[in-house]
Amino acid sequence: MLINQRFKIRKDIGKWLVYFEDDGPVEMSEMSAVITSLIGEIKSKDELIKTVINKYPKCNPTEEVDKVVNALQKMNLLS
Amino acid sequence: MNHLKTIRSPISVNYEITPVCNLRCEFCFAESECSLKHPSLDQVIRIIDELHNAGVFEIRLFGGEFFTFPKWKKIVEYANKKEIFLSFVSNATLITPEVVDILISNGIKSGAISIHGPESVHDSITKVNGSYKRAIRGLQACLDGGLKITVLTTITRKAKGRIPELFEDLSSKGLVRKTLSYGINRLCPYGRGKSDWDNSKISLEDYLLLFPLLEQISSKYGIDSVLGDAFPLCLVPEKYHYLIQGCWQGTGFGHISSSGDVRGCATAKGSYGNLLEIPLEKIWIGKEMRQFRKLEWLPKSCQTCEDFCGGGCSASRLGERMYSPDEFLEGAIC
Repeated sequence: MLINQRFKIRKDIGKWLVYFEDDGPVEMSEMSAVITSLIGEIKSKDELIKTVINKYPKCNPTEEVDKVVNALQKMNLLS
Repeated sequence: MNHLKTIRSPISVNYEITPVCNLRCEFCFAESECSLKHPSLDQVIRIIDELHNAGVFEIRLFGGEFFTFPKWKKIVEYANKKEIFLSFVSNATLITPEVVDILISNGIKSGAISIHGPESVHDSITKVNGSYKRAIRGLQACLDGGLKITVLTTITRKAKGRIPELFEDLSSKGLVRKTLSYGINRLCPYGRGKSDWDNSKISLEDYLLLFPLLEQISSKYGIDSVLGDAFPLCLVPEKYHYLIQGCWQGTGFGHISSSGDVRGCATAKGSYGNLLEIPLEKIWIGKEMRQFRKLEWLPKSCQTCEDFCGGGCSASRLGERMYSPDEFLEGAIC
């Protein structure tokens, strides 16, 4: 799992902004932005879920990761 | 009431590295020409640092003509080292295969080249004979080198009705490729564009004829073609709305002049502040920019429109203000 273009992330006013070089900006929650940045570094979904639970122990990591992956897939941002 | 969002700084900017240009287009909103002076490299670096510190993700290298700047290569290398996404807007007259190699080796994947119409129209507008041929050579170098290029035409009375000739020529030269796209930009009454506004501008009816033309270009040549600016959607048949790119000036997009003045867009004059004196983030969330985003300067019908499109181009109306309602909004039924 890899994001198919360069992207950048920043904390903004009340939200996070992820800017995909070819497709433009997307607003996200902090957790979704963090998961997106991790997708750029971690290829295995299991490993990604483990990393997310370490960072956000109270969340449902599978659900959160699936939410972001599905959204990125819908935008054709994954390869 | 409709309003625009405030974010902490623009995501993307046009940065006018230099006001110097080797052409002298008759409608140039920046009033660029060759007699102007380049800023120092130090100043350019300071501005890039400030853009980077403010969280700007993307710089479109802009002018004047960016490639007239003697140390343009250093700027590209410096910004790339800061991992800023880069693209360019150019007249392409100075672009060679060697220039393209440098751009690509510094992470640049795309750019825009201004061609104002077929050869006779382009050279008449730029006031430089041979500028079309040089632009075409530059375009070819970009496409051959692997850059994605958007050819941009600022639409004028001279160019309207002549766009098919431009495409016949691009096609005959083998330049209509998958990596080419096309955009028509609106003419705005700023800089030299103001001086002959009545004779240069095109009418609403003329604009409406551009949409079927853009569709024909897309269909005939298999490339994306758009109106690369904002336009009031209520004035355009719904079937053509997808051809209007829109504009996010003053929210996610901004323009930085060569002296560091911050504007919402390239065509407007004036300044919300100078980022060499005040941090960009402070300017961007400041009172004057918030006032713009409140949209109280738009007609009431736009402020309350349920299908709010932004109200069109705020730099299209003749006047002295930094922004005002779209030139065609009078009589609009929103």
